Amino acid sequence: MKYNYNQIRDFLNDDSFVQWVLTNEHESFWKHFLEENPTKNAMIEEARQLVLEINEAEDQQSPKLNEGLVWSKIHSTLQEPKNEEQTPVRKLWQQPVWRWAASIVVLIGIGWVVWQNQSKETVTYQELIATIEDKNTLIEKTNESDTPLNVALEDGSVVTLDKNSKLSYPAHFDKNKRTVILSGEAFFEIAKDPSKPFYVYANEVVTKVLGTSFRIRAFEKDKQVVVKVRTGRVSVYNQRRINLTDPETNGIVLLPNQQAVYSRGTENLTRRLVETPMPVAEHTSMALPTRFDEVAVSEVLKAIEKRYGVKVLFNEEVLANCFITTTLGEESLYEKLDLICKIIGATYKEVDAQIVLESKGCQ
Amino acid sequence: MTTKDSDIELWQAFKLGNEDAFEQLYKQHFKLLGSYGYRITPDSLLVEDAIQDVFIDLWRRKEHLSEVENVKFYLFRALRNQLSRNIRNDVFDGAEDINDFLDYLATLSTEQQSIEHESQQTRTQTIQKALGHLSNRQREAIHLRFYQGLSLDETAQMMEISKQVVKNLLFKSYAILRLTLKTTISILLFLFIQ
Repeated sequence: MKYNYNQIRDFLNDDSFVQWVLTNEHESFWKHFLEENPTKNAMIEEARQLVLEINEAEDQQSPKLNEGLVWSKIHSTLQEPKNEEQTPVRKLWQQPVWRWAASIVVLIGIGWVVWQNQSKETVTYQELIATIEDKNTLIEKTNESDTPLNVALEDGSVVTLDKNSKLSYPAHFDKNKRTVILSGEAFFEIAKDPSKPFYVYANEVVTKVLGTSFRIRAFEKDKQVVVKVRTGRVSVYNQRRINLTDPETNGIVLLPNQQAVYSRGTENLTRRLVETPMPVAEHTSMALPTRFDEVAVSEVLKAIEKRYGVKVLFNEEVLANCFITTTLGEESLYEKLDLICKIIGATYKEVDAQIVLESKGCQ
Repeated sequence: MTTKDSDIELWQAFKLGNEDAFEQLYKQHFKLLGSYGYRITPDSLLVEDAIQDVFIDLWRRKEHLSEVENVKFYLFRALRNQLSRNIRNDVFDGAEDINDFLDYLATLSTEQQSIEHESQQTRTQTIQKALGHLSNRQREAIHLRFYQGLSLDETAQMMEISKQVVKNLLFKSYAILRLTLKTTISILLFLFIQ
């Protein structure tokens, strides 16, 4: 045992110390140590508290697992007789011809299963429900009318269901996540709760947020699934088969005015701007008409960038001599860009949810 | 010490085919295995399945198993392996990716907005929140060490990393924990002074 404890972490990194705090082992050593080193008592107490508090916190976050159910599954699996081992009698199917026949049948079987798995690249609403319902009883709301239907969830979130759309959600959310299933189209306004991320499962697409507003369109018969973000940050990823763990590493992150389009045929997930970007909520004051008098184009572009939260890329040097006089009012993002490009003789295109502006500059 | 010894007795009886001893082993370790598995994946169904697989496998291979010194450690190792086999997207690799970091930042900013809420929380909840800021690997190290009471060497072997890397993970965790806890405390003090 080493004796040079100068910082709290020296205690925390000491096996004997941790064992003493957790199980009272090495009690005599540490009692003795406390008496011998009165100056270290405060430090020891702080380290001890931290260990105990972490232990308590971890203890309270233990999952609720069904010990009895798991045991009964183990038990029944082990009870199943293993036929092959217990039947030493040579049977008909053990003769060579039959073995060949059996092999062929098995091969066809394997081929069929593989083919089934490959062709099965879609996830349906019903399958999602069946998977999630195992854990929770779900409530289903369906909107067959022409007017949007508001569904309030227990966490304060509101989901506005469009026509011919269904939403399933648990009466009570899990401790560590909120999960709902959508078929059709809906607008989500999610109450912020960083400790419980909100997941929307819609066909093959999973959308994860902490608290934002966004729209999802995922009809079973559609060829695409679309997620459009109004405010906040949203992660979107796709799954070919149902997997309730969080494979977010494969997904993309969306910001306001961006949308993810998942093409069900090619299994491609791409990011684009929404058709009509709206001013970002935090900058409502900036949405008021603004007049620019003989200002550098780069300044106007930056104002647009801020207002819509959309990245506008351009070459600052090339545009250095471009000055314009214009008013930014109610017109849409694209109308604004068209206007500016017309004035300075430039063109723009959208690349990966960003605007790239190309210009030869102004004289 | 006593639990270790009784574990070893049970282990030997189970290897000889004693079903009661097997059930006993299961009952004694289920809760701790569950809470460790939960650190690796929050999906409790996955954890239950993995525990089930571990014990079925154990019984089927009982004749071929060797003697073990630390049954708990052996079971933990088996569970960790089973989980990494069962989970297609390896949770042990993508642990510290950029999305987690962005989420963390988002969490911090919203936390500032809910200071009032925070002041009503108990100390344990504050710690839980602070623990939530750790990366998966940091959290696993903290869990093994201060909840399961594993030694530094055992933690290193369990996570398949060197002892120094465990120390580094723990060191970073202490820093994050102290920072988070300190902020909460100073915010509380600030509220009091006001």
